[in-house]
Amino acid sequence: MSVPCEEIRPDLEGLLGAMTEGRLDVDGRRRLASILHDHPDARQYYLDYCQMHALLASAHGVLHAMQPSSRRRWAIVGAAAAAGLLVAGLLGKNPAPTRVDAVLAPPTGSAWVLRDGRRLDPGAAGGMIDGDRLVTGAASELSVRAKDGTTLQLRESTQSRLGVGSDGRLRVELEEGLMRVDAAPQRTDHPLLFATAHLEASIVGTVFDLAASGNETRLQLLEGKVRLSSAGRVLDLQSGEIASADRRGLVRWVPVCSLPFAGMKALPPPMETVFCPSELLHKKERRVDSAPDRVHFVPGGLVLGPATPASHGLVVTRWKEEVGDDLLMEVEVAGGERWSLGFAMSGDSFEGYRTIFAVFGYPNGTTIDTIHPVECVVLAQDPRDISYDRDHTLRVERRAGRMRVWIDRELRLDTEIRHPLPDGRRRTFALSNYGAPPIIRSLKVWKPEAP
Amino acid sequence: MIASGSRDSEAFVRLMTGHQGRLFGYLFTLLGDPDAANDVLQETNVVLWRDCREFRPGSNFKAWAFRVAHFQVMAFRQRQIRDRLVFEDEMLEVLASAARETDDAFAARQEKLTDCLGRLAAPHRELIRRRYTDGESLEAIARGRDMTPNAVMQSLFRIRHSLMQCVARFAGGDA
Repeated sequence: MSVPCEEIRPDLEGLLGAMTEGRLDVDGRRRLASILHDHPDARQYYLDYCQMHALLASAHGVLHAMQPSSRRRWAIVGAAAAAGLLVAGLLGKNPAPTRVDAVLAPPTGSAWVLRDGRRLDPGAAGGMIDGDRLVTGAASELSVRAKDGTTLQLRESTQSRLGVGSDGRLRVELEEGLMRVDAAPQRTDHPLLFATAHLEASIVGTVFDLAASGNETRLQLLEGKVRLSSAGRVLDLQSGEIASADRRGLVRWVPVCSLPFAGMKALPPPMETVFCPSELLHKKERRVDSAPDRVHFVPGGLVLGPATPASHGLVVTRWKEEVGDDLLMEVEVAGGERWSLGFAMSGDSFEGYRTIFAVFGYPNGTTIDTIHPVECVVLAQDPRDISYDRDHTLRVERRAGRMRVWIDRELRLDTEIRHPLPDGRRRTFALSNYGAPPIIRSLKVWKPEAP
Repeated sequence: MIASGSRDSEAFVRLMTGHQGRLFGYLFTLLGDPDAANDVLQETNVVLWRDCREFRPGSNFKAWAFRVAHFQVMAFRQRQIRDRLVFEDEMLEVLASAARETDDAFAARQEKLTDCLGRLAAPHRELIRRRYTDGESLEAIARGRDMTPNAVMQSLFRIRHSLMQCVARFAGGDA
């Protein structure tokens, strides 16, 4: 076995330990790359080390056999095990597969059932059996209806596995993608079980959206209650709340507001609209005035702009109260004409971090910037297009200095933002125009529960 | 060429299953991030399964699968922000080539690992089991052991290091 020289060994050990846990920061990544570039002996050690991690991740059987008592296995962290789910269903280990009391509705678009190494059309799959994997393609959906009335709607590009527990309960594993679950009432001592790589949810009758990717799982509870468990922590989620689970742990996001603009005729009292003319926006003498008439409502929702033409400038609709630095904001915008929209958090659009979708002059992409104190400072950009012909869900999250931006379910930006903002700012959130405004159907905001 | 539902199809699935650990090791080496390696492994599996008809039974599955994995790594890197990547393109190619060679020892080391795990001190074996089999987080393990998560991370590193030494020793050299 190659052993790296003493000069770099302590550094390398710390870096590899962090890397294996997915905790290597930007500086760590640079340092590791530099060491491997300059030290061929470290390179071979790195290769052997990575292989050892893979060997251990594949050694479930051996490790399981060595433990003194049989415990339930809930291991997705072994990466090979997680990926192995793909083929576990194909192998059909059970010689007499258990029937799952559920039927498939005809899919929208492309969807299929993977069973015993075969790819079946949902219509030809017949009854569902334990271990069936359901897969939907792009722009496709598939519905599953269980005997008790529970329905699962697999959205596009989703992979899920249906199983039956030893007690006969339906168990659903969401490997990737998004699923809307409308669970029929269950006995409290006999809940349905939903699992992802990051959490397990016990359901006794509720409606929720469950989204999973390799990095995290989100459960948004629309009705009822859900009990979640992740890495030893148990959390009872209430209606309207979101839970996210990743390698940093399980977080409860509690609602700040949920505003269905499509059914409203005026902003709620906690919100106000202000305006700064373009000619003053990037000057020290910037002036911000109250401007309730700078927004208006149409049948489909809120428009950040006056009903009749007026002078140009930044229209900001903001929350009046302090809500903190960390937030999750979600907006639904209507498809149609080309539009642009700004989110702000950790401050309003004049003092906080702005996320601008579809910036004119920066075609179709996404930008995080700030215009504090005067000039625009670009902090992160993603060039990928936003299509204007259909509705979108735009989501921005800030948590512990990290900002992430999604368009629909696609993660567009994921980066640390540490640019200084003014100390005395009001830590709130806002929406702002940036050229042609869209019709905003709804705004939802959550903040993380204090630890 | 593989026909769906045939004996070859079943053999193909077994080849895929048998190579999961090796593919993960290869991807983890190139990406330096377990979550990213996991994501790309899933994508690789989807492509392997989708293109299974291109695979000729009896030909070199590993070479084909690693090639697919490599393409998926390149696609993944294109989607990432630059500072999320660990290695520059040039180093990536060096590591890819070396990782394919290192993989030649995977099966032998896997066999030795069983013995080496049996030789670990019981608390160390328990730590490995909780991390890899139960999938517990560093924080959860730390709470149960009155340690900090960082101390658990260091312990896990040292155990992996000792297992690397053990596997090499059993193999009678630089296995």
